[in-house]
Amino acid sequence: MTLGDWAARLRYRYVPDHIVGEVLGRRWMDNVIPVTLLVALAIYLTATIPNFTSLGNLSDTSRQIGEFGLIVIGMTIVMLGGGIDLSVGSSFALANLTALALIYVAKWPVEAAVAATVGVGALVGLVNGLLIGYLRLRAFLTTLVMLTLLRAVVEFLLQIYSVRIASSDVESAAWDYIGSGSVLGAPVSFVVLAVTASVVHVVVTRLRIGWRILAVGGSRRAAYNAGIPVRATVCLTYVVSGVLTSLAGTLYAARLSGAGPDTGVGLELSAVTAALLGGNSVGGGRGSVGKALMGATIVALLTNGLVRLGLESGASAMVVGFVLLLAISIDVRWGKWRHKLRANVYVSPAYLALPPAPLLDAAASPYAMNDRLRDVEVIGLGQVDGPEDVILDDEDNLYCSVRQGEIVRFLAPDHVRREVYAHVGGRPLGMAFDRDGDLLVCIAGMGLYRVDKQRKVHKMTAETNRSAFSIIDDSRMRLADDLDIAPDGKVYFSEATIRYGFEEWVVDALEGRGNGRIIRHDPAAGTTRTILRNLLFANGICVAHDGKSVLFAETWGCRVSRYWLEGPKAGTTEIVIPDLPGYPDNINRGSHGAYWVGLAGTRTPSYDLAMTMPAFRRRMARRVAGDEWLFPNVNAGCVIHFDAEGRVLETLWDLAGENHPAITSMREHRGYLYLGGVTNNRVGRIKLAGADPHWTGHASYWGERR
Amino acid sequence: MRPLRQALDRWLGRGEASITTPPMDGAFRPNDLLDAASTVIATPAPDDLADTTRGLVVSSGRSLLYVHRQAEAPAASFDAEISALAGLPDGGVAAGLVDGRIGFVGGRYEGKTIPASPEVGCITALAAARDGALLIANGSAAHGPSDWKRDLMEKNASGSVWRLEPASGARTQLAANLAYPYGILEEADSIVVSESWRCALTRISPNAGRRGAPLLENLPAYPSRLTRGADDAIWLALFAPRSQLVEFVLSEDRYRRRMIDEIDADYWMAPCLRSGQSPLEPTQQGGVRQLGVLKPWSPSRSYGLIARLDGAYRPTASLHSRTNGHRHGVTSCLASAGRLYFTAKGDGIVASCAYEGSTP
Repeated sequence: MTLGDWAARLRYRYVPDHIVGEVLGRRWMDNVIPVTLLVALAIYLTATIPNFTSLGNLSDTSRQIGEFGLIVIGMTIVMLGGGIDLSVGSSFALANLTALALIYVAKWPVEAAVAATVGVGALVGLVNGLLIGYLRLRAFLTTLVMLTLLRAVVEFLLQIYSVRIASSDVESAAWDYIGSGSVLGAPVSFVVLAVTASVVHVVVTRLRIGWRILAVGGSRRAAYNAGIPVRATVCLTYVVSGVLTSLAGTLYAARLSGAGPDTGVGLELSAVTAALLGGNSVGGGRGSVGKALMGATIVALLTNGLVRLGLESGASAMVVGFVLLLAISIDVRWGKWRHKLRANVYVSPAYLALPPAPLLDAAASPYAMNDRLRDVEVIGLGQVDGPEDVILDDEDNLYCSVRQGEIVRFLAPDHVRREVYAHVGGRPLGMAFDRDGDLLVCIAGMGLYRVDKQRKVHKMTAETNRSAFSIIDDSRMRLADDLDIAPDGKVYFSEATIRYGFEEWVVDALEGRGNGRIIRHDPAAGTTRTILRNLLFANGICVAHDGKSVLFAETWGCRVSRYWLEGPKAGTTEIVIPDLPGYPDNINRGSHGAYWVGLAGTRTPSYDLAMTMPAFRRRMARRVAGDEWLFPNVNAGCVIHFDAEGRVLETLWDLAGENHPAITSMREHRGYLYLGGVTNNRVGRIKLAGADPHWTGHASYWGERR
Repeated sequence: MRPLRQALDRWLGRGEASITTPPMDGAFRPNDLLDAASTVIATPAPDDLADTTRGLVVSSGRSLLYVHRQAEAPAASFDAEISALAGLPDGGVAAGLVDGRIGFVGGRYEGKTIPASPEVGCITALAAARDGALLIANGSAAHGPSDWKRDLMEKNASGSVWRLEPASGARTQLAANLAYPYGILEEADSIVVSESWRCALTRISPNAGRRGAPLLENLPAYPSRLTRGADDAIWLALFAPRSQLVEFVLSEDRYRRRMIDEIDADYWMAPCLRSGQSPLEPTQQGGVRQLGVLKPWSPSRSYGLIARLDGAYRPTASLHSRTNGHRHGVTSCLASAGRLYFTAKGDGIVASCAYEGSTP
């Protein structure tokens, strides 16, 4: 091994490239830009403005954030539904005026005044909602008109009420408490915001109406086709915005108790800026309350800070405008660029040096090439599409898991009559019969399922415990591959990779990292636990004849290992066959205490070399079309017979691969070996010379038929 | 700026460094005509064809066989493998051997052998010039004809074209620094050679310098021998397909170097005359046998292809044996008596198909 090799090995062991792509794929990456901005802004303002973090200033700022945040949440709801509400500035002023007039002129009690103000806000929102949702007017124009209209109303009312408000002698402790009181040290308006934000968050993310708003904003037509009442949903978003805006107006009224012509001027722009800065999408469907709060905080800090930095009011508006421009461009660019970048960096090949390959052409080699599989009997030619696994029951019927999501059965004794035993969906792969004759199936994209004798399909498990430090959510199963059942009824099954789905297994081969795992499901307790991680494409799995250990194959590692279930080595793993000449798939029991393993492909020197050059493979993945990627040789078929100690007894080849290239499964049954292949259109059957003609897998697991 | 941009392109794999191959389209639109052709004889590794007064001959290993008289003894046998043939105007045939010697069978120089010279060690094609001289394509200065794969993967361009006077044995060099000249054809005042590793035909004029001028570029496969048909159409055999992955491997110097040093040439990711012979050979993702069928369009390291060019060397038609075909590695073709004969060296077959006039 050269120095360069060592360097490559160390670099790919300790630099986790794959994390970059996984991080970029997470939803919370939407928030990276606003969080960075917020932190930078806070640091800058703290450093440049004396007393910025003093208690008095913080309390003052949080009171403002409390009011402003409510408006931004309302704006966010509207934007999530695909609209925009520009009327909030005037609506805010109207609410302010209404509340003051009701308290100071009409002398209403505080509760009634607040309720009436919110009602006025809801009415304004309803008018917006009816015009935009039901009459299908443009949101931008409608709310702009509403902005102007309400402003005129406010100015008209101001002429009547402003003097009477200012000269009123009403004193209300409750009203003053709303304006300047605090709950546990936090200003009332901030508490109102916190409560509202929590409620709205739950509604948006957990309740049906919230999902509907997101659906309408994401794709109006699709939402309509899905049966969502689009018009009512859109209308509702404006009502929510009106309510929250009027609530903010009430809080403002209580704090300042003053009605002037410039109340709420330009507020709509600040609210839109805040909603966008937080990372909410202009187009709708993407965003959250958390983003709204973040945006509101940024804008409030910015305006507050700019005032305190002593900028002219025009200059400060200009800064806000620039920030808005920046927010919109980042929103668009980051959304696109992130997915592009992720697509580029998600595939991250690792360094994988396999042990020297065994010789195939030396006659003394246990793997010596022959053509013993060339003359198989063919079953169901053209009637099965990719029988990844084959299995026989105690009545000699033959079952295949095929690409259409079905378990196809060929009936004994001649395996000519074909029927669909069960439609399970997904891509069924490994199969096993349990003690009661139910058929357990690993289904890629779905998990572990059971087909009972009445052919009903039951889900056994689709979720396991999440790994502590995994960035992608690995609790869901993406590629359950093969299973076997221990004598105590526990099911051991493999998940080939947690990073890719079944259709992308080739990319996992290119990566050559330990992305696979083995999971144990206990049907009695209903628990599912991951027991082994970081396996190189965990594939075939087989409980040993004595039931004390589990044999499993790691496809890209070209090896078969044993996991001890009991005995002195319980819980440990040891390698049984370290250097197969190819890529092992399913492992199954054979007669005389032996085992079979199918090779889905053979190792090739060119691919082995490429596996030690991750950068080469990464460039290949980016520059060469997927169909042209370098690959191990999957056009020759091979089955290996080995004993409990891992000694290879014999090797059966189909060198030309005419009938059986890429053998992914084989079952011994009454002296015959049945062969399946994930890309094949037939099942093969060949007579075994030295096999026990009475041995069946079913009897080996569960004893002779009762 | 340019070196900077080139470096950037190489790093990002775009611009001139992007991996592209010409599509099999236009005149190269795929068909199954080579597979439909009828087998004339099956013999191991038939390499080159030549017309003599006693009939068509083909080289196969060390022997020279009559294509139409299989029962007869070989026309000649040499003590080294034959690497090129040329039919001579006097009815005889000149045979280049892998060790650089040239032997004559029949005709004026019957039995004569011209000894090898150190400069011409890789005779890949021969052609008789009108003035009685022999034109020699010398594929590589570094490797013999059987090591062509190594010459390609080393990205050599050390081939040359020579003129030999059979009577005196005097040689003169006409061109050098060619990327594996593998076919040669004499024109009125120039010579056209096929440069395999450049996937191009090059015209060499006596007064146009030693490099030659490109005539036809961006072929979708590696060209080999050139012959002229009766109607002045030109036939070009192409012995292996270009592939994106091979071009990529050629651009990856470290992988290429290690592959050459550490792996047996049969198992390289490189073009070949017949792929799928051993489970140790590389395959490509799209080359997986699906539902018992190897798709004809799947990527392959071997292929069968003959192109027909017009007088201006523009491709007009082609004959194919696709990925699932059985006439791969076509190293030569020859139009004779209304039929087009070709050698599928990868599959050990000499076959012929009808060819009347201008359309194949």
